[in-house]
Amino acid sequence: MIDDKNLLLEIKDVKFHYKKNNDILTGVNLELYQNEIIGISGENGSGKSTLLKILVGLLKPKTGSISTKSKIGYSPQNILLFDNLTVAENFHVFGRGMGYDKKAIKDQMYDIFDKLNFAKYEKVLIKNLSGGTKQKVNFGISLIGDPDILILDEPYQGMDYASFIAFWDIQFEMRKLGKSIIIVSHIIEDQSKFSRSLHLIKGKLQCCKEEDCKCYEVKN
Amino acid sequence: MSKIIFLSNQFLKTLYRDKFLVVLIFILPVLLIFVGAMSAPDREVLFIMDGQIVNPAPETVEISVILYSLTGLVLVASIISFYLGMNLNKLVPRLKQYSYTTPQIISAFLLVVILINLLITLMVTVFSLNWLDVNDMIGYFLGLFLSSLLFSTFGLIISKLVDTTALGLYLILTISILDTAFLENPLFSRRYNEDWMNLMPAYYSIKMAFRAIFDLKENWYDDIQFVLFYEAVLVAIYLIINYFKKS
Amino acid sequence: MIFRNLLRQKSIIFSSTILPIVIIWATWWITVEVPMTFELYSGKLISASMLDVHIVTGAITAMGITSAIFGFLITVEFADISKRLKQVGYSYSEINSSIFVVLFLVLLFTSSISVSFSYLLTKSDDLQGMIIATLLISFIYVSIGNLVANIYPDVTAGSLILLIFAFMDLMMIVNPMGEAIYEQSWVKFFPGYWPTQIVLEYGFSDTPSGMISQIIYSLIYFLIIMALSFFVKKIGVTMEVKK
Repeated sequence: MIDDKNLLLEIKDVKFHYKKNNDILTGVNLELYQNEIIGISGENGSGKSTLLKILVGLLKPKTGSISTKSKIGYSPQNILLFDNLTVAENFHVFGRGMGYDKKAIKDQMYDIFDKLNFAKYEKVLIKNLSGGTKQKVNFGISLIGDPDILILDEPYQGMDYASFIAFWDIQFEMRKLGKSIIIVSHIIEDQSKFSRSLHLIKGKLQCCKEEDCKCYEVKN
Repeated sequence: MSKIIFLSNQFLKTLYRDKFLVVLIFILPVLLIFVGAMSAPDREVLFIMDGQIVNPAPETVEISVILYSLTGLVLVASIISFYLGMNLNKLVPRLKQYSYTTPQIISAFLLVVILINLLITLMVTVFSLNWLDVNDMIGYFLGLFLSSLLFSTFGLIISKLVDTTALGLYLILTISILDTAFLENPLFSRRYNEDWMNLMPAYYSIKMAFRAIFDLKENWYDDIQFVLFYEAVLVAIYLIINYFKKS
Repeated sequence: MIFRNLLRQKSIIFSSTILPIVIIWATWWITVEVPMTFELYSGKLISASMLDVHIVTGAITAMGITSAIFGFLITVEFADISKRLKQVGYSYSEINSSIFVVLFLVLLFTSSISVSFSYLLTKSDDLQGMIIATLLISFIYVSIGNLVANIYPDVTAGSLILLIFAFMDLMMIVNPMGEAIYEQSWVKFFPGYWPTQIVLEYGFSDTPSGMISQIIYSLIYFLIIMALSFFVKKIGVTMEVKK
């Protein structure tokens, strides 16, 4: 149970495997506080996407626990949208699921359109969008419901530079409002934007320090 | 309830915006029935069902039209549910994350499948009436409709088992054509009257259609329970596969 | 490498080995053994077992379906990748020759399965007609696969169109099993007609004849479809397909 008011998410000793005796996560610990942007990197296949899926409840950890009282928004690495629906219709499908009425969804949608600058695609079918615009919609959907925590899995693949800047503006704005973000990213420039930069090595989250070039396991 | 209707409306949109599927729904059954009717010679056939000779003897064209109506219908039904299943399998986790429950998603899916199957069955029934004199329209319609439901469930099961669309389509075509156009075809199947044939998915629904058209001892509604039992078994198989795939 | 890439796809393995065996075996296992009579293009009236007729036409159907799918998949798959291979130094003639060799090997393998399997099951002792007919049907249906890929390169829709078209052509229209439609004069314009006539003529007639003209008709058909395919590609009527 989370007692600390500033603590939004607590991960305790989470282990996970797809096949027995082949643990992908061997004991992940993390505490996410308000106003934090945590960057996670790691080799391909190290389990970053798996960890994020566990955090949002798409996978169940084999052992360990995840505690949160906050609303979570998630943008998956693969674009998960209805190809034959328009951008607006996709917003309505996911917004309606969360219990919002038409008007509330529209208000949120136009706000997100403005921020990410894709209002002109409102009535375009997803299958007719470019890869970068699809990614923007994929990310935009995760903002529905004004989540307290945003969990983003390589969210800006294929985005143009202006969208990339807009994306970071949204993150900083959210942080100002006391929200937090966990983001998987391999872009070196991003490191300066993170409050904490963590690496998933051998199934554990580790914090690497430049001074002694060593990594230390994150412990709560 | 409103969430279910809203979601099924969105599923329907994803279907009718795919031009190929729309063409498939309207063209394939009509084409199969038409070619099936044209290929049948103009003569009567000795047709034995439930151990008795059907009297008056049906014409080959009638049998051919019934079987190809079913073939067209089950092909379209299984392809559509396979297509929907393949698309939804990847989206279900995200829908759940946005507070849709599993029963809501399943109900919306079922609603779409039932609506589409009703539409295709209606179309096939009306078109096949060009060659058929049906004694009992309800029995004929229900026989066709239930077979479409059975094969929709097949399509759904296959969507869970295969990785690629092409492989899924091959399996669907092989199963559907083998069952409805070949095995159940009294015009050239030597397996038609064998006992184990009642294990084939289209067996009882074809019997229903035959009973509704030809003058037979038993009524078509005697077979409904078997079709529904078969459907329940297929749904159970689907749920088991779903459970193991998830874990 | 092209060969390996194909062999590692389950759908390719399925359509080149399992599908022909399933089709031929199913026709043998299902069809009742009763006599049937049909007329050949040469005018001869043939009396044969329905079982034997269905097996040999089943073999032709299996080859038609497999060839159409291969022709289609290879055209779709290599449309983009051949541009990349060209960039890294392969010439178009090298790429096309490799694709042709692979296609030829796979179809040779599939046709030997179809011919030998159907030969085992039928009482017809003709091999010559069967081999020639399977080769001709392969050529024709590869070109049809190529044509469909050039018009509508969507894997789902394209393979479905081809599977259904090949089934209807070879099992229902040009096949004496579909008695009434087979007797129509216009069926000779269907792609499977001449190869089917060869297999029926040589399999069931005591005095087979007319092979040369039937081969020529089949090849003309093949050339017309290939020309159409090139024409379609050149004028660029390919429909937009999102991959």
